[in-house]
Amino acid sequence: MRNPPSETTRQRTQPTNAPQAVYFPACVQTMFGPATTGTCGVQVGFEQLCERAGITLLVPAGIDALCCGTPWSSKGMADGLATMSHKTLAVLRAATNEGALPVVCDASSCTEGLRHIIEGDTSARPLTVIDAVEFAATHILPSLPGYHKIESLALHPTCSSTRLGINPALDTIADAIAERVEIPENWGCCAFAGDRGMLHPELTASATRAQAADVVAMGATAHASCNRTCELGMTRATGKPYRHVLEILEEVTRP
Amino acid sequence: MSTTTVSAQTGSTVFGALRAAVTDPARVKTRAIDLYANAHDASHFLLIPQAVVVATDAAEVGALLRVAAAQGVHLTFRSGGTSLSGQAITDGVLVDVRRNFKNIEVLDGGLRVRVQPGATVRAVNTRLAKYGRKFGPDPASESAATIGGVVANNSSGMACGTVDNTYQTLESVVVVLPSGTVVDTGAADADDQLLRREPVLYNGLLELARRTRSNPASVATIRQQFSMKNTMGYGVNSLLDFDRPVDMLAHLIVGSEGTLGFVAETVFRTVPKLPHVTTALLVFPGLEAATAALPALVATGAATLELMDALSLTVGQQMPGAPAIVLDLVVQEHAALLVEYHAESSEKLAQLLETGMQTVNTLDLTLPADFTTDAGIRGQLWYLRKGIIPAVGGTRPQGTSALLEDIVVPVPALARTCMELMRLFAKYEYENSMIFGHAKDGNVHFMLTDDFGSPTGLERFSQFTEDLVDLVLGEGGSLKAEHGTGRVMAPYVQRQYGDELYDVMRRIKVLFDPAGLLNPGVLINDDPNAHLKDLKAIPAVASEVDRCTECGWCEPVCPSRNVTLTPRQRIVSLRAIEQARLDGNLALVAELEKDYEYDAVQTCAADGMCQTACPVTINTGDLMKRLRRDDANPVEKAIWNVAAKNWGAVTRVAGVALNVVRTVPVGVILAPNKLARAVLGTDAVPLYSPELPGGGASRKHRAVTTAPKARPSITVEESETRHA
Ligand SMILES: Cc1cc2nc3c(=O)[nH]c(=O)nc-3n(C[C@H](O)[C@H](O)[C@H](O)COP(=O)(O)OP(=O)(O)OC[C@H]3O[C@@H](n4cnc5c(N)ncnc54)[C@H](O)[C@@H]3O)c2cc1C
Ligand code: SF4
Repeated sequence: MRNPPSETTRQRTQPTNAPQAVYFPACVQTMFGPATTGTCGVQVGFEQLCERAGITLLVPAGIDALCCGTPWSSKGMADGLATMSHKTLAVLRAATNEGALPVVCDASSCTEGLRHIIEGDTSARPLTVIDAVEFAATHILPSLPGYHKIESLALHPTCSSTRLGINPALDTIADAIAERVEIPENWGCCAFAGDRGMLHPELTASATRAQAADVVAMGATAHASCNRTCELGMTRATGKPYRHVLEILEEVTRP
Repeated sequence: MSTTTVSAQTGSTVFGALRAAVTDPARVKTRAIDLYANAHDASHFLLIPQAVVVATDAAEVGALLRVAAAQGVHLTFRSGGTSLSGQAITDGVLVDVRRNFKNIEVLDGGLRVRVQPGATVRAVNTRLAKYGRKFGPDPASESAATIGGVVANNSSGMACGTVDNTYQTLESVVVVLPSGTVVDTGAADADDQLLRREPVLYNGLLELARRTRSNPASVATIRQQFSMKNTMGYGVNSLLDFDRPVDMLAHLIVGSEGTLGFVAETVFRTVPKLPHVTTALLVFPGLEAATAALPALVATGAATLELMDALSLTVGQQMPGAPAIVLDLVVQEHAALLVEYHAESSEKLAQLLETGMQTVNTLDLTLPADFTTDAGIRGQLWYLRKGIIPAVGGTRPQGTSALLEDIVVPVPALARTCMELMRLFAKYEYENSMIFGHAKDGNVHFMLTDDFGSPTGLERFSQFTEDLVDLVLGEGGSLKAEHGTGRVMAPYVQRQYGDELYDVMRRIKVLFDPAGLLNPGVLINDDPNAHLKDLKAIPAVASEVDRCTECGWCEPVCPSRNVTLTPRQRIVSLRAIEQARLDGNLALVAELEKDYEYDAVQTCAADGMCQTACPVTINTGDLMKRLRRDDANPVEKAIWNVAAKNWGAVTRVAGVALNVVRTVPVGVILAPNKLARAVLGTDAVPLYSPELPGGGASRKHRAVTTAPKARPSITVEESETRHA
């Protein structure tokens, strides 16, 4: 897929302009920016990591008008979901050159949403959608230069990362970030993935109460998840700034 | 035994007394949806409680017991609700003892563990994993079954047998007796304290021990019955195995199914978790050959020996991802044993396997034995074994329910018993009743599916049960090996143990619970037809969930479990609404529907976590989303369709709105926002919350200033690349 990393790739990567994947930044990043001013957000972090690994990504034209459909599906809005699915699928088919490139998405819920959208795709060469965490674990981690790990990381796997089966990849990234990775004993879905956390805050409050206490007791150096709304939910619950693991990985491994 | 129900007049007094007994009266729930949603356990029985109380601690359970005594109502404890024999349901007061009893304390570097009853087996094992230890009892329901339920049912599994089960690995227990007395059997002076505080119980136990020990027939029956896995009746082996009444008490609590006292805390010895594992499916020409091989295989130190009959293998062939060895088989009369060896090191494992193979090579196998440590193939083999229950339960015809039997016979009698069982299935025309289970312990399961509520279904079940009882007891077996006596086998305890031991058991109940406050009708029941009453009806409600077997496995992972309902509760409430409709009880329909909207539909996170835990892969969120869709007000629906067409603008506006609110005091935003939610409904207007960050940049035109000082990103936009 790409040249093996060498010392020189750390200096300056020559864009080959032949993209290896189509990047679908989730719209939740637009609606809810980075955790604190001064941090870059997952999109920039992921792009930086890809750059260092010599990977070219293609962001489809018209991305701002696209969505994985989860807001509609979660509200049970069938017409809106159909409209959005149709639009997104058409753009992705074109951008991936009819399925030749994989689609990479940077929020686990949206990765799942996109997977649902492509289920309706009956083309001969169906699209593949990979979560950025999994993509990074296989394509980026092996080529990272030497760096110092942070002491500890509190990790919040999400419902979608569990459903997608990418928790092993999430663990791999987390282990690459910190000497000690801790998942709270009372871990569970924070209920913030769809719109429920904003519509019914009592639901997220209840879902996060026990695990938030675990997290506060841990006193970890950093706090990470892999889906923006869940990061917000866990931030609300714990008072600790949750960010995307790849954003933190980028920071920790920055040359 | 008294089976008091709360009448309308006394209801309010009883509810008042219950509310006064707990620190927060809101934890006594009496809305129709609370009662119907909580009523169901995993069995084929159903009773509707009068009230549901969420208890916080042992003292509160003591207070509830005092109310029960004073008001003449009875209590049933409910934990994971995965019981299969009807022991976790009630028409009295249901006490939820799962939510607030979750503490786990690892002792002695993992050699022992102190656990509260609401913690799941999985939670305990997660804590013990880093010490290389695990919890002894290993029920297949470990993700949802709790320690309280495991103790009360004397649960076991495919590996632990009678060696590492609850009875053997429980060191001490804190019990709240129906009298309100709290006994810690681990205290240094526990026996003296018991004598001082409960002299009648203490002396009664001593007397029963003397009576039993001096009766050779009783001793012989107990020794024979409890050499097997056995959860029929009370664990009267305690009367022989222990000398101090306080130890007898601790071990009588094991398997007492919530009828003798409340388990408030437990201390267990743990067992080593052996990380090196090798697995094979041994395929035999028939059941006879498979079961004949058992004693020799047990002697090789096999950790598990799971039996699957020909029908199980045939069904297994249809499962997606079935292992190659099964797919390639032309199944005739075959039977298979899933054999596993566990060891602490790879060297030890190699040794075990070598001796194992000496035996395996002498067996009459259809296919060569192929042991593997490959996680993928091992996963497939276990998927086959564990998929049998869901395959039957999940594909049963609409309107029928599935009933899981759990018999045990001495291993030499197993083949004969299985053959006879198949004859009974044919005689009573039960289809798809595969036989499978823990063969090394002579313990097998099979499922009966029928409309047990119909007169013919009931008659058939009644006659079949009589034949089954004759068969199993004729072979010196037990009618329940690990699932508990419950309501389904309570009428047969006397036949299994004889009059003398049955009387001892009745005496035990009276000593502990003279007023019959705890779980009446369970384990001891004078009604010879108790197993034919209060059967659950399962009306069809929605294709997404109709295959639900009400097992409860989805409950621990559901994010709304502590605020409104769980996936199982969402499903069973719908079934209750439908049943009420069929019964013409429109008032109940209306009452349930009133609360269903918020408790079930609106507060479902629709995260699909339930599907990851469900043995028949139901995603209850899908149904809740569909109900939202069917409900969605047309105006709101239209707005969201417009949003889909103009999503770029919407996300940016939402982003800008968030940026604006950042610079305004929170109160200014919150007041109108709350107002809008009050007017338009909380399910339509999101609540702004102060820790939401400011909006982000457009995905296309990133705010590069926030990016780390860096070289230009090599991410390219489509237009550029395309034309480059
Ligand atoms: C699909 C499936 C597979 C299963 N596989 C197995 C298996 O392999 N092996 C096995 O042994 N069982 C199995 N079971 C049965 C069941 O899971 C176990 O009996 C389990 O231990 C019950 O635990 P629970 O937390 O669900 O208890 P519940 O069902 O809530 O309660 C069980 C009993 O204990 C009482 N009780 C609960 N908490 C307390 C307390 N704190 N103090 C006193 N009494 C209490 C209740 O009143 C009730 O009588 C299975 C069940 C299902 C649905
Ligand atoms: S939805 Fe699935 S896991 Fe939940 S009770 Fe039903 S069958 Fe069991």
